Amino acid sequence: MKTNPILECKNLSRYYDAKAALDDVNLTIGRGKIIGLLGPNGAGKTTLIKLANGLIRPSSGQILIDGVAPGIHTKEIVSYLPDKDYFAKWMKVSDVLNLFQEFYSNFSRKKADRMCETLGIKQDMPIKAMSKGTREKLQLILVMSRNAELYLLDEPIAGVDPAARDFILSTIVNNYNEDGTIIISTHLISDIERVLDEVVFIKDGRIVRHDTVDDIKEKECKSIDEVFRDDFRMAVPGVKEAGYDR
Amino acid sequence: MTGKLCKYEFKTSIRQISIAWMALLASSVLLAVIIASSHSLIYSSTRAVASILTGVLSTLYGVILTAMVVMAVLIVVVRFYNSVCSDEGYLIHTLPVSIRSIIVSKGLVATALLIVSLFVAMISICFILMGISVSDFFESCGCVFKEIGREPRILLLIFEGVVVLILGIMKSVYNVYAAIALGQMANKHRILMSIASYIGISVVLTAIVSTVLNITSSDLIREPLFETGRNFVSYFGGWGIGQAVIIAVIIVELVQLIIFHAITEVALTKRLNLL
Repeated sequence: MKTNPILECKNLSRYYDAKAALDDVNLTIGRGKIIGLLGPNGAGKTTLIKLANGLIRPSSGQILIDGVAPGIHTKEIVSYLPDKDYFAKWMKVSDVLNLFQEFYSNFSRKKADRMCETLGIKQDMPIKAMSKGTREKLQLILVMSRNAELYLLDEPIAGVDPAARDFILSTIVNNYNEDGTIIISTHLISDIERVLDEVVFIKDGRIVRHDTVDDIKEKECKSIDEVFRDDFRMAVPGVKEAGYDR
Repeated sequence: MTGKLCKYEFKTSIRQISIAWMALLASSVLLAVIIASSHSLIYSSTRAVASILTGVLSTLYGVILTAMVVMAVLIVVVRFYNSVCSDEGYLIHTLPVSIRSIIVSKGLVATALLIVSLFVAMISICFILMGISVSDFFESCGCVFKEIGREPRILLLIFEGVVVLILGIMKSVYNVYAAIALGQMANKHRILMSIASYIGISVVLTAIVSTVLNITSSDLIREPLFETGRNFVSYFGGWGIGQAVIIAVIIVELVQLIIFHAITEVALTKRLNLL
């Protein structure tokens, strides 16, 4: 079994024009964990995940997956759920499943078929006839049917109702390769904190906290959601200290 | 992996253009039938109806032909942009394949699509010519084959023409790819930047061609060049110089093709910017 870090960022920065989306990030992520990449909108979560997938290039510094820069090898071992709908509209469910089966050696067709059946997604169903929610579920099925070393899930529970969130989280927890690592980016902490082993807080493109959930709870005697709210508390104009409605 | 990518690219592209191919062939057959049947009409009233039908179908044929050309070009451009630079790119760029495989698969399928479109247009014209006069059509075909029999080197010329045509189409496809690959590097107005890149590439090419022409037409070069040309003609004859020109054209097309591919590959490998 491999023991080297699955993901490493070394002085990683990414600028969009003059604005830093990620600023000198240093981060090491080990194997066999579920990690929450937590931060408000625009903190740099998606940028970090896109860099790990090689969809954008660093402005400076390095990002390594399994010790190498993003490339063919890393794409073979990384299973990525983007926050975009990436299907070609002509495809049917079976076309997408065939595509994954042909290109990814670690894709389990049996698992994907079973998950589709559980969810009532018919294989002859055209993608364009599916609702947004069903397309998102299909993307999740594709991602979780791979026996990957790293799962990168970008906002998997954003924009769905609480019942669907539970389904998504249980699908993730019940189907991932347990030797692998899952990184879930979200700002909906209360929904996912029960499944997390570690958290990484990201703010304005910088990593402000990286700790295990147990350590945080032991040291601060608070839930991750409460700690997050404390760390990311914003000043409300006209109010000395902002509070949150809970 | 390139083969697998080609298969999926082909499946995606063929759906849209095949409708235009069918429509063009159907309209040309219909037009040919109307033209052919109008020859045997006796009454002036039915001849007038046939004449109106011929006019309507000719217009329809022209519209479908134009639509097919526009559609083929759009598919080449839009397919590459969508699958490499927009949301579909989140799938294609996370497959365990090289950027080179992605570009080559798209380039091959786009070239094939344009060549088949050209072939379909030629067949449709043949149908219409057969409608005008079957005997004239086959007589003309017979003349062409007789000429080839008399001068087999025409076959070589046809082959070279096909090679130049394929390379020319492929080069044009890669020219568009290079412009899109450069345009996607921008964080905003990526389509506009792609158009600007295309214009930029055209300007650079024009500048290179005019520079070469200026150099070759200068007094220092012109005379020795003409002298070499005269010697070449006297030694190899007109056929030889024709062959030399064709080979030169093939080399120029190939060099451009390689440069456009290199620009696309470097831009997508080093500066991929999927927003």
